[in-house]
Amino acid sequence: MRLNHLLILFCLMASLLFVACKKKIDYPAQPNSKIESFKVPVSDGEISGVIDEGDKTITLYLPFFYQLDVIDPKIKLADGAILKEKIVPVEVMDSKTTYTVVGADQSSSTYKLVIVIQQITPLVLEEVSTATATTKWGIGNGFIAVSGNFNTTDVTKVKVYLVGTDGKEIALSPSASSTTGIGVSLLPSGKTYRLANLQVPQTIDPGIYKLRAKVYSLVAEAKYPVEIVYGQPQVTYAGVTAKSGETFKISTKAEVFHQFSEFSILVNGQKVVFPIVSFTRTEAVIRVPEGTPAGVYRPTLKFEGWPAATYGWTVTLTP
Amino acid sequence: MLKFLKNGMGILMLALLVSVSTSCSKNDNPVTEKPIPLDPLVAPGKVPFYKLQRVENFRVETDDKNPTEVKLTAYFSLDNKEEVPVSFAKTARWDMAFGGLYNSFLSGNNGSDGTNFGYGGSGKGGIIVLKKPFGEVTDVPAEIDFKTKGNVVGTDDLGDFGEGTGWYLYDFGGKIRGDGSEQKTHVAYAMPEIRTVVVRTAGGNYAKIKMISCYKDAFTADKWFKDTPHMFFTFEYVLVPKGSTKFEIK
Repeated sequence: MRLNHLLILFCLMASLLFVACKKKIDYPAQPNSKIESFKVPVSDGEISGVIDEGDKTITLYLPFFYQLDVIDPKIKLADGAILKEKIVPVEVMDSKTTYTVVGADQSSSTYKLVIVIQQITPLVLEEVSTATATTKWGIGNGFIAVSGNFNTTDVTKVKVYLVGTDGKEIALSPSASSTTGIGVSLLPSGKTYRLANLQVPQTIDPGIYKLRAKVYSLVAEAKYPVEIVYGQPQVTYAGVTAKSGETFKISTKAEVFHQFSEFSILVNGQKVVFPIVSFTRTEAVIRVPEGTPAGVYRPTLKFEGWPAATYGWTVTLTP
Repeated sequence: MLKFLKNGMGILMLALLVSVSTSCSKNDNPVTEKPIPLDPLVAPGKVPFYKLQRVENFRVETDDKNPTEVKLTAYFSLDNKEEVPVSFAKTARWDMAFGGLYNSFLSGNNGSDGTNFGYGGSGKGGIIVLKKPFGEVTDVPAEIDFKTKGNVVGTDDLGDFGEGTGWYLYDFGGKIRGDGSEQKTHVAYAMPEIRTVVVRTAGGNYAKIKMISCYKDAFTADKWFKDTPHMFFTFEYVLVPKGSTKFEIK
């Protein structure tokens, strides 16, 4: 009987214990300062950035063929979080952009943006010179063309440089004489892109230069150099009007003035030389001699090393 | 069974069984997740729908000494009524570009057209010019009528060097709309009385636009001369939302 009582008591106690046995298990709290998605709209949809919470990076793989200069991301944050920075377009070659998120729980996280432009490699720049013949380009020449597997028709994406012995890169600029553009050809060797109407800067020194091209992060250099020289000077259309005794200016946006020795007109078959007051690579000041009769004349200019040339534009001398 | 239950031991065992089966539960889902509302992913534009907007003297690059030299295209956001930096060309942040000769040729923002300034970006825009005055344009044109190329709406065939239907008449010699005087040569006459530009914005909204002038502080043809400071655009427009079929001003 006593054993029975003990057993009953035990069962009662056990029942009470079991009913009391409840435990709630909560997940550990996660910081609220998170970027949940990073998307970049493009012409045919969106590209999603890969968010790594471990090293707090957002990596965006951007195919080259969108030819973007900037990305304009759409960022989704955790509920209640705010972004310290304003969302603005980011240059595709940028490597310094970060995003700081402050969560509703006041925690803070900083993400670094990494943009990887996916390009076809290697970049190849076609030779303009050979082992035995070095191509010469005049200072200011605005009709330079280079070819390669640039894989873009956007002229702003292909940067071409002359590299001197000091290693300094001097960029070829869009031509002031014509429209710079990229044409695409399909050759037996494959697709080739020709970037035409670049200009050798008017300020560059003559000499031997390496030729280098860059497309986004890819770089290519030609094996053989080019030689930069003083080419035949050009005069940008002048249409001068002046009076006897006055000065006027002529200028060039193309091949520069070099060793400018004579400016003359023909008056009744006689050569009348106009003094060259001064000249720089891009501009010359000419004086009309006193007593030169009024009229419309075509000028002849002489630069040493080049034949004298008579131009189609005119000098109009007024009374 | 009854005999078992009458037995006190039976009752206790039953109680034990019940208590065990109802206790010791573990809640695996302590927090109920609230659905997270979608954040607006693109900031809404500053310009309200259905309200007439006026832009005066929007200045673009020009150079009379070198008129044919390529100038920087200018980009304008109709959704926000402001100029957008050139560096943002391949984004959806602008709606109408001013490019070409004297930056007088207009285009929409379309990322899918290789000739468009926004190529590669996410702009879904386009442009069309209608042979009607602003007040008579009530219907939004069909999607298929919008052009997506760059520099597509400029000089009108009514003037010199016309390129189809344009927003302005160019009077090279000064005799089409002018009196033939030297100061009336090379004048660009906006034609709001017979032309209205319609733009589908980068985000898909629609704007009908009255191009009023390209001369600074001069909004009527009697004030336009060769030497009037120019390429300062004045225009009015009303924005309606994506999916609209009618232009309304409320």
